[in-house]
Amino acid sequence: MWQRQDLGHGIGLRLAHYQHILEHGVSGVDWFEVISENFFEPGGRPWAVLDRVRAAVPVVMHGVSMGLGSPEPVPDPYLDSLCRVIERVEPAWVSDHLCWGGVGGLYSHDLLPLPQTREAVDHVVRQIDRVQERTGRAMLIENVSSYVAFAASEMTEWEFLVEIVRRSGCGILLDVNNVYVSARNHGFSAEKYLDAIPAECIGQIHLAGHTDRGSYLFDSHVGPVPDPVWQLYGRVVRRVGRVPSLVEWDEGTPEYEVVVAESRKAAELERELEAA
Amino acid sequence: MKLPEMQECFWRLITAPEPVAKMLPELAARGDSTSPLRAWIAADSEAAAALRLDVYANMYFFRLLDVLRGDYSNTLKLVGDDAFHNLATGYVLAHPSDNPSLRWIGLHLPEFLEQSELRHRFPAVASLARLEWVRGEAFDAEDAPVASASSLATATPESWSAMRLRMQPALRLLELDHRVLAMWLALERNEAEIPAAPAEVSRVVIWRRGFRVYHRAVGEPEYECLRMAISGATFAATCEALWIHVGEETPAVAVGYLRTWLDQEMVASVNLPP
Repeated sequence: MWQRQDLGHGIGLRLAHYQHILEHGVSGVDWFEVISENFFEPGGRPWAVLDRVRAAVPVVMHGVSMGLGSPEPVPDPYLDSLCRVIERVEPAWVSDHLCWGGVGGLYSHDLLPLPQTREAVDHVVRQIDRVQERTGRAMLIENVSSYVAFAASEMTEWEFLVEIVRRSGCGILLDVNNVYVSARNHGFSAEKYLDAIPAECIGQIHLAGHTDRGSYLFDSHVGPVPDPVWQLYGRVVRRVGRVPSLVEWDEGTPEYEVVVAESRKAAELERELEAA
Repeated sequence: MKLPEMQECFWRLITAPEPVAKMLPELAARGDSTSPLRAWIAADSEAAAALRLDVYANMYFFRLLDVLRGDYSNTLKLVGDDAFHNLATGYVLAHPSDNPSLRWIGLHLPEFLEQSELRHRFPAVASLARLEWVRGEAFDAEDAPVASASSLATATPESWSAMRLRMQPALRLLELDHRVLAMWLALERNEAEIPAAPAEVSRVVIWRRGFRVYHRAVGEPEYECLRMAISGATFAATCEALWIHVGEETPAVAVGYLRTWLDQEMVASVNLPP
């Protein structure tokens, strides 16, 4: 079963900040999240930066290509690479997405949505079992933003997520922005979704910005975290208590200090809610 | 529709070069299993379902295009935005990603360019792309210590011949059919005048010092010696191969190469016999 760690508040390690970190080191954050696949190659500047970061603060690994819901099992070479990085980084935890990524050994490099069916639950649980057995640790799975819904779905997205978590013993990386985006795109209640997630399953929270494209919201990770997402974050923290949070800012990533300041807002809000 | 079949349908639609809405009449006419979309996508209309699938189709292509533009930034400057966009459209159809890391999406672009129409307008484009790709390989290749000239201090005349070098894991050799280094440099510096790249065989060594990737042209003798050093040949065997090129000057030339390789941090360790 998943056990939450009180790690504080972090940011994602991004290429735009490599030089800053090499020159000035790490400051202002409690931990970093790194994209697992970015470290599948063994050397050079990426690893020099990561080694520097890891020496200063805890690191968690976040994958984007595991494809837990893809038709084929998570490939052995992928798990070999993942385990090599785990061994070197000793992350506080490892996460990936509740989605699929491709077919027949091909990758979309995108987070494709699954129909919320019992068939998909069974399939994903088998894959999570495989990953957890291979890595020897419980993982976190993240809810994704989606732009289509499926006629075959038999349950709500939150029922789907909780069922998989209950059966596999993994935890949840709750992306509050993704809940907001999908709620707007599919017309369900973001509050109802968040309230349905068992507190003990939540291991981490993602915060990010999105873009309004008229007929739908797009999960762009652009700009500061918008107010509606902060409000939903507050709602989760009021109910659940302290949860490690992370600000994702991938589009037009600003200077290191700006992203760190956004992350400190989460820490400040958490403090205010604890004091209230 | 079972999950794997639904995923096949989804995949076919988002990886096709045309917008989903444009493909709908054709799909319906041939009774394709993806049609009608509303049999498996929850939407008010076929058009609405197509528009939402297009969100994924656009993300798929533009993410890959972005990475290719980064990996081949000088090739992009040479051929221009529109031509590169069209090139990428054909390329990702022919070579969809088969690696979980996006870092490898551009692996086959140089060979794809060799068959491309662009080759007629830009004869050196495949060589330029190959140089860019291999520089990228050196960027995140395995780290290793750097051997210094003092590694040779303990060498006796006998041990020289049995000496083997371990070259840096990032070191790469390239044989190109155009001389593209001046063109690469002009593109890298965003110069207004881009020199032509003569259609002559050129040999290049690529390596990394610290985090920075370097390359330089090498003549055939040094290329051959580097190739042998990488393969773990002894210094004696390397000199034997060099003799064919430079004859009696072999000892002086070989020692000169060795000094240069050490100075330029291409060597990870000098292994002398016990």
